[in-house]
Amino acid sequence: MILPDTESTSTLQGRADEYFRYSKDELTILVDRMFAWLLAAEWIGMIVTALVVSPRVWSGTQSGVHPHVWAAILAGPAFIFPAIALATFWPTRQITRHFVAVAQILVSILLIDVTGGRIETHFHVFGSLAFLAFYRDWRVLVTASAVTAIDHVVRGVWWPESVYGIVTVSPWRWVEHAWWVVFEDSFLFLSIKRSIQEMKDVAISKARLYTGAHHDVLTGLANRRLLQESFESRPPKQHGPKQQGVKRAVLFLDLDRFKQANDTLGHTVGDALLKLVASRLATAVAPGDTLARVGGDEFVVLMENLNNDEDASVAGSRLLNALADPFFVDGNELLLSASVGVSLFPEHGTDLSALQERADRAMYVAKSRGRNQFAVFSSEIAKHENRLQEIGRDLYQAQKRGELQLYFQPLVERDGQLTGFEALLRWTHPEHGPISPSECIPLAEKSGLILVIGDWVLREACRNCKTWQRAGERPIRVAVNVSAIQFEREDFPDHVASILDEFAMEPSLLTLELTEGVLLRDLERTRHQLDGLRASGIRISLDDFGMGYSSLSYLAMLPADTIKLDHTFVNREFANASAVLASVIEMAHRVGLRVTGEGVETEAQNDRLSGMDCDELQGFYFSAPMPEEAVAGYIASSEGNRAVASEAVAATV
Amino acid sequence: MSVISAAIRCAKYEWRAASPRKSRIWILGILSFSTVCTLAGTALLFSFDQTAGAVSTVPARWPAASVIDRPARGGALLVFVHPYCSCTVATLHEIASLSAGRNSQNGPPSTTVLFYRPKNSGWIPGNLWKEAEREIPGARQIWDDDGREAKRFGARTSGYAVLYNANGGLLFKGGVTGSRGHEGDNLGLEQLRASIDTGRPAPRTSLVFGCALTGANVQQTGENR
Repeated sequence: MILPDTESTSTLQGRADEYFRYSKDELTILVDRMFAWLLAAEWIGMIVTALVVSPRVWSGTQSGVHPHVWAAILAGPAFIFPAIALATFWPTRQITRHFVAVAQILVSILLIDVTGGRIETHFHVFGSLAFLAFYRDWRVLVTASAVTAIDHVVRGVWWPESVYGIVTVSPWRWVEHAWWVVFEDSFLFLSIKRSIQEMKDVAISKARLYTGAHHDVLTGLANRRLLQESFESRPPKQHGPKQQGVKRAVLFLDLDRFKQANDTLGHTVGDALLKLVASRLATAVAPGDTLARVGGDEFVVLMENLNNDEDASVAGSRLLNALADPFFVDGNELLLSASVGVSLFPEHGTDLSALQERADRAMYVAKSRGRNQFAVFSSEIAKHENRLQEIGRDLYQAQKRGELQLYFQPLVERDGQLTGFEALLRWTHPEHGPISPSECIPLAEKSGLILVIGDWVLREACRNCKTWQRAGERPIRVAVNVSAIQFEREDFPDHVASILDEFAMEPSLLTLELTEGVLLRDLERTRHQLDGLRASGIRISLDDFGMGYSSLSYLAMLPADTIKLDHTFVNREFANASAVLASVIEMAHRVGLRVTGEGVETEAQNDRLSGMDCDELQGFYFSAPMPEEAVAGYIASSEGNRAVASEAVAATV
Repeated sequence: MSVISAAIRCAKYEWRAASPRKSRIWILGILSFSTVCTLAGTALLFSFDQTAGAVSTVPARWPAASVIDRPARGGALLVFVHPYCSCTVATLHEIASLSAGRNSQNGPPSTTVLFYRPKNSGWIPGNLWKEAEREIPGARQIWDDDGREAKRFGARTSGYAVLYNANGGLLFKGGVTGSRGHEGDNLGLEQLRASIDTGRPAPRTSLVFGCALTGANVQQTGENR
């Protein structure tokens, strides 16, 4: 038995009540049906009895059908057929039960009369009361007993000896009659009460089982199973002429950066936050729609009866707006956002798993667009996803086939002197051509391949760096980007040291660039790892500084050598940009950090950063990333330029 | 059966499709019809069961013209019966109950069951005859051709009983059931029992319930309870 989630079944007691009502209705329908058949059988039996006991009435030589036979026959249309009709066409109703009770007792009374008041026939009354107890409704017994009492009172007035006996024989016979009815009714009432309680207990147990199996324990929302049942229990209505154009939608919602909050503030706070999120989302979901928690911080809304596609978008916005206000958990004020993906029935799938999978893909697109927004699944997304899947598969073979390559972009002092190169991964796909790192790195991270590729990048960078030392006059450093997955390795500092040993490379020539996302996962552990790396002489650079949630306190907390200003900071104009840049650079200098400005594309940007005492610069203004083969030439020309510059300086002097 | 079940399914569909107001009207109509029919039927049935049969004047002394042998000692109980009146079965059972364990002053009465038989009717002993033979030990069963004895003793309704003492004096007249075909305690039976036991006349006339013996029945006036 599946009861749909409705307002009345939203609580345990509500669902238990519904189960009880359902069970009681089922039982009542059964008993109604049983009585319909019983009354029909009794009617036939009564006619046969009347025909056997008193078939005809005589007057001398004349005879006619006995009135008892007529009474038995006419009892059918008078009250037996109506009772059967009610039990058949209007079961479970109070009026039906009571009418059946009246009819059943009338049958008993008539049967007693037709058989000449035989005491044996009186057992029919007690049998009728016992049968009526199957309704599990004490009011029905009261009705039946009342009809019996009325019959006895009426007879007692006009025909007393038929009920009470005569005074000389048994003055208290009526007490004996009443006592037996009261005695039986008392047993039946107790039995009904007990039986009803058992039904209620079973209903509560069922409700508990259902709730446990269909709801998320933490938030109380629907779980995957209930979501699936809700989807299946409401079949699509698109085929009816009136319902044409009616749609359903699946909205997949994933909280942005929830894992960080969970990791930094603890799981207790995380759980409390999820509960608050669930209650906020519940207020944003329309009645009749299903809100489910399907993963740690993943929620799904199944929307029913959409009029058009815009309804889903409006619902997506409503969900995002519901999370806009800050959450207060355990003394913490937390700002949360979410990314929502939307898929539509039937365009994007006809079963829940397909719709959910497509909404999930759309959600990732929303995340990649900068989070806190929603995206509706489309054919473009599907193509993009297919391409990513294909690339992901090919990435396994890319390294073996030699399709991966390192490019190097120069890092220069503000006086133009070359200090090193940043190693940048490039992949030339045999079919799709050059693949952007922003596409292939997340795939590599997702598949775990980043460990192999990262290792290869580090070795290649060190190998090249070693070569540069032999070619140039001065030491030239190399900077390598490190993924979070690489950095999370317990032995990462030792591993890097072993690679440096392998190439006999000076540790101070290697700079590891780590983004905020890598560093903020576990501050204590990060500090421990960074200390280990710096102790061996490796330099640390905080990459993309100024983006995301960079806190200035990290400048003092984390052991780093350099911060690398994000290119959006450098090459975009915004109000007070120069003042902000100057302040950040000055602050970094005050805590002993060097500053690298990346994304320098124009002379003006170069002049501005140089004027702010930015220590190191990088960007297309100086050089685009170059392949390994071009680096030696660039170093040579850079040395030459330096010689020319030195000569010019000497001449000036 | 398949036609009936199809009809029921069809009716169920129509019933469910009907508006709640229409359903209520139907229900109300059914209940009203049922109540009226049941009450009217009950009244008619009770009226039939409770309407006593007719009797004529009962001779205070044993009629000299009677061909029935009156016993020299003890009382004589005559029961007049229509051989096919099913209601009279109760009378025979009540008469049978009298003979068990009785200690009357004048001994048990000599019981004769007289079965009315119209001339040339060809009626033969039926169930009631056999019932009398079986249930009332020592009783005689005889045919009362054309109801001649019934006329002598004023009997017009099946189940009518008269008790005369050894001297031919009338002690009891009337019925021994409370209503048509119903066994059980009743005043007539009690009075008959008392007359047998004490030899004194019953103070009141008992109503008799049963089929008319010889023709149209006329309601008896008198008291029975």
